[in-house]
Amino acid sequence: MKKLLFIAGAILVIILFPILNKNMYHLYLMNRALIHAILATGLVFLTGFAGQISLGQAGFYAIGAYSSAYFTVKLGMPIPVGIIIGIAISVLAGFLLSIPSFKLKAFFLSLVTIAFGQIVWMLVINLTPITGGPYGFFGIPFYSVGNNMLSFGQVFWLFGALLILCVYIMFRIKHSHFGRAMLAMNDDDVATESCGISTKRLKIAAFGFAAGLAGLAGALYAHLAGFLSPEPFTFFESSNFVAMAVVGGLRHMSGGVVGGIGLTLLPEFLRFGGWENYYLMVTSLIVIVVIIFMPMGLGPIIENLFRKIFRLKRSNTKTL
Amino acid sequence: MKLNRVLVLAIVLLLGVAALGATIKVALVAPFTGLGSILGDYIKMGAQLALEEINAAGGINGDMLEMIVYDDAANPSTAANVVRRALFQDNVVAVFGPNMSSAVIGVHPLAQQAKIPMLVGATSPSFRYTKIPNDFLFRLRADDEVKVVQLVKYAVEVLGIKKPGVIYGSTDYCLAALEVAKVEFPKYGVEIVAMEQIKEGDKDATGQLLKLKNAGFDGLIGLTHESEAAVTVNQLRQLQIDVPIIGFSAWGVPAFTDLAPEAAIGVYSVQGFNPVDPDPAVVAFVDAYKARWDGKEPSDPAQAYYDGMYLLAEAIKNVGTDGTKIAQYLATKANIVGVQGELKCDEHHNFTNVCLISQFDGKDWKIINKMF
Amino acid sequence: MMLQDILQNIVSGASIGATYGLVGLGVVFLWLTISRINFANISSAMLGAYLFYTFYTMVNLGFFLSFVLSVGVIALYGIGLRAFIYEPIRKRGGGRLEFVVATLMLCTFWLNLIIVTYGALPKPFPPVFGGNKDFITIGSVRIPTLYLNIYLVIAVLMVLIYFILNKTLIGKSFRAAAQNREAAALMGIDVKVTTSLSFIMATCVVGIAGILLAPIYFVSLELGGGSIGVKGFASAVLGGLTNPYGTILGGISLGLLENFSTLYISSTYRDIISFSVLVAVLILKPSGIFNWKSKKI
Repeated sequence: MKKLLFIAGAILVIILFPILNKNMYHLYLMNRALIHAILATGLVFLTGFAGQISLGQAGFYAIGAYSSAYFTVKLGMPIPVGIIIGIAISVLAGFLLSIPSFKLKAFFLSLVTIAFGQIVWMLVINLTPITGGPYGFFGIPFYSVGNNMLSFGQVFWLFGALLILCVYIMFRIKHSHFGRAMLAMNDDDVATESCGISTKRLKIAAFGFAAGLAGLAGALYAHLAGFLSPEPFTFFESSNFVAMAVVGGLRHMSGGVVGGIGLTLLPEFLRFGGWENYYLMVTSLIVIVVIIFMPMGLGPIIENLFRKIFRLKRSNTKTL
Repeated sequence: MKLNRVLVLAIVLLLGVAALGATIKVALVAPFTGLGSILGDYIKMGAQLALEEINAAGGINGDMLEMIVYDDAANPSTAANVVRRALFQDNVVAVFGPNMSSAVIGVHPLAQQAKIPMLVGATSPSFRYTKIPNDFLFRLRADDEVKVVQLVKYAVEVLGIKKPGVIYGSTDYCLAALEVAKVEFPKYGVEIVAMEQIKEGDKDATGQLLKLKNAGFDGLIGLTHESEAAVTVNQLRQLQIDVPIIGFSAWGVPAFTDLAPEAAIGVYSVQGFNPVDPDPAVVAFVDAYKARWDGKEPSDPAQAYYDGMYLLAEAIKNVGTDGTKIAQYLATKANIVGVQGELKCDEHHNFTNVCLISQFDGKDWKIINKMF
Repeated sequence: MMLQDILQNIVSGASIGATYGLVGLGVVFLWLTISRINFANISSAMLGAYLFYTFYTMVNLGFFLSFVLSVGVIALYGIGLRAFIYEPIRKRGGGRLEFVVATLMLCTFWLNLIIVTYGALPKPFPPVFGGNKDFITIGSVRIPTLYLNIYLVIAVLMVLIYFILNKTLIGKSFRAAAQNREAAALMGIDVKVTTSLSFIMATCVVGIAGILLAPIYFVSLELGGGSIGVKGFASAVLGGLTNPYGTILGGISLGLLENFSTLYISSTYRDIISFSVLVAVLILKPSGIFNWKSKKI
């Protein structure tokens, strides 16, 4: 019941926002925020539930973005097909990246993921015939139905629906046999294996899922922005994505959503005239403070707030 | 009670500001953070100087100019955010920048959509009006094709380079220049003997230089950014490879020579601006800039945005603040003399083609040739 | 390719690589005691270079005083890092990942603080370690004085580190704390002091590296956010994260690998090659290739 109320509330907010706010800048920003929320949700799943670290999500983000751009522009495929291909290639790369995780832990694994992100980034720069390299990739089609271009508001509804779908899938996985095995693996790798559960399979799945969401996010971004260049796919972005997941709350369904939206909007709020140098400094400081004082993330705090507003009773909704 | 007082104060303040005359808001999009941000301050200080001069002289028909500065972090994706903010939230009448070519190509459709002129200092020939016909996009500097054509001409005809070796960076700025060089050299019957890349941030060019040496190059063509230019000439001197060096515009600024003051002696560069240019307009600009900014010397592209602000003021004075009218005026009628000489929109939507060939003497860049 | 060119390439590759190794040492010292990775490790190098630049070029304090002051401030920063980042996170139940993200953000913070205070333009570094034209010639190979100085400092640091780790009580408490924090505390080792010391050593060695690197990298933001940070990690990994000498060797081999890929394959794909090698090493030999005695330091 409560869960339904939450979802209904979320849907209501998503439906109302573009109707009440027609500012193109706000809508564009919110669309980017939803994209980041999708990506961060994947990271929450990978790190919070399956216990694996990735500092190379920008690599999957790039793969999704450039694949979809390439298949729609150069091969003339429709956008949905491009996006699905983007996700598929990303997931395959995710499977590949999960192999080192069988053997490596924590820091060593994070280094492999950093190297992965760097390699993808350098391929983006150097494979000029496919990616446009440093010149950029231009003329990527915008979302449309038939011959009608969608408005930013309609795109917002589309992204919102996709985000809810992603969170819902994650929710179902988490409460399945598979998800419980994953949480067990997060607690103790060896013990899980000795219960007859293949942790390899779990890791492949977790990396694949997170990579798929990052690929989806990248593809959505490509068609939203209309052009791509290598700059948004650096290690710096990968670390921002992890920061989103951690600030939102790694062990909460809402973590990716809260962190993704929050950390996309925060630097934009902090742009003040005459102080244009300072916003990133302040943003990073705020993230550090949040991590130190709220290691569980902002997700649970905001969930509590909602509960108070809707006067819901505290019960077993601890992790929704 | 308190709230009321604040409200009254706010209303009084607002009325006061309104009584002083309306303000005309313009946006400046430039890089101030991140690794690629060395140009932001020059751009801002150049534009700000012109704006203050215009306002001190009574504004435009009594209205004051106000500049809102946005950081694009040298990232086209961030530029797409802030240009939207400028156009759709802050409702500016014109946008200066971005200063990065890939960002310009990414965001220029927004200017068209909002019908607001966009005046940029980015230099890639790929968004010339003849290639991207956007009526709202204008360029305030000579583009790179103009500069590289002059560079190649000088390298072959005057320096007598017959086997040029190229060292180039990995950004669009470097690669666009390389494309032009690849086309221009064969026109003189000269083949580039070797092309080697040095990535932004690299600090060792030994391997690249040895390869050029083994290819038998007799002249170095430098198409990199400032720091890599310094690395390259330093190591060229250390390896005692003695060839003439001619570099692209990033090789002709203090950001390069400050880092390699000795090694840069004798280097030729094709510049868009030279602060020791004896042209009276340049002298006046350099003096005013130094007086306003604590003795700091201007560097390319400060002069471009300074000129740009005057161009915009001229347009607004004549046709008001309507974006479409400003763009039409800029394209057809605007004609002023600025720091870069006569400024007039050509068929590429470039306001100037000025460039200089200069040689570094250990302190300043000695002008050899100035071309308009 | 002439032999002389190959030797020349070895000299410059090894020198750049040695600097990666120095940065990697900062990673090793923290890993030894607290098993955490400070992703703001490289920021200490940038801070060291900018501090030295401030004291030497802007305030004119002379080499020795500037050096001591810079390293002193960096040491204080190391203590602050433990007191204001590491301990608060640990106390509130934050794990490794929280420390990783906090230090990643710290790296952004320092970069932007430097931009705000010094501007983004790279600054020339005073030629205190030899100018651009100073070099000695062995055979036909030229070695810049600067590189010789880097080797000298590395040698001194290595001896110092060997002495501290093997011959003093600090080294013993390091190893004890690394093996078992609680047990070490029970045995009367002040874990707090040990942790502080490891933070100081980690930040100071990278700070000194920053001052040494500044003539090559200039006093620039690249010291605090460029690829050198990642390459420092890579060197530490090649040394198995626990072996300081292996880390320097790891850095040198990384530098050589880079320069020879430039010479024989392509400068364009150089970084892709070195990162691929890093991944291969991590997967095939996660204990590091230059880690001959991983049990004893």
